[in-house]
Amino acid sequence: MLLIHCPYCDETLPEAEFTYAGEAHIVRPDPSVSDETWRDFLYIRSNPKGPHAERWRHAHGCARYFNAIRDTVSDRVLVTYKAGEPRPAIAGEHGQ
Amino acid sequence: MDEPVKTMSTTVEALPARARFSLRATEADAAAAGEALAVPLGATIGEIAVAGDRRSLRLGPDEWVVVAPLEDAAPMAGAFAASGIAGSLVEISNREVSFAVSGPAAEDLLAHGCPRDLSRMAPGRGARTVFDGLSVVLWHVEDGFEVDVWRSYAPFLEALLTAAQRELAVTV
Repeated sequence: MLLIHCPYCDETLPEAEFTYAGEAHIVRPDPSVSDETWRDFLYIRSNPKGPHAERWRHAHGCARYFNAIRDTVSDRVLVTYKAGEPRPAIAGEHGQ
Repeated sequence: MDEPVKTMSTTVEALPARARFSLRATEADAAAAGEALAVPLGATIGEIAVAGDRRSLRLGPDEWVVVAPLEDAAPMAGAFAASGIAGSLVEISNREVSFAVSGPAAEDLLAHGCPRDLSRMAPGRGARTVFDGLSVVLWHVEDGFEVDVWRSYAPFLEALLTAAQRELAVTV
């Protein structure tokens, strides 16, 4: 089981308390954009082999959404940070 | 709920009805909200704050659960409304019921369904967490744990707890 650090509770807790909520840092475009841009916003997601910025929710705890960078190769959560904060820089191609 | 179940190591019993509120307020309004409700509000997530027979548990950055004797519900709601605080106080007295889980093996009993390391939850601390898929609020109070659960899930939770108790009675 993954242990995930909740940046609001400041505790490292079992994955069972959390739910995954999709890719992070997807910016909603202005409604007047082209159909192609709107399609990309709705459906096109990155699928990296390596660090991936994701939204998670501490659903069974403080109920807050936050962001996490998870390495999709090792399934290790490298860092978590509060919603609205910029994506932190991750050293190296894959997390250590 | 039937007679409380007791074994050598654990006791599980349903607690009498009490007033409960879900309080949402910003950090800036927390002190005023606590004053209006005559209950202290913990500064850190997971903190239980007690004043007489009223107490609160901080669940998140802007969320507390407040419990009090049943007859205090209306005066507390009135005092909060009169205070003019830009927050939300929702009475959830009937939504939830509580079980007291106590005894030397209370942690082992709750470990049957809760993924948290309860040895790290000291008395005076609590949390909303999960018990076998149910969202519950755990309070570590002076004489053991209290578990709040939505009323419709209470028979299921009680069955799980008493099944775990029987298991402990065999193994402890």
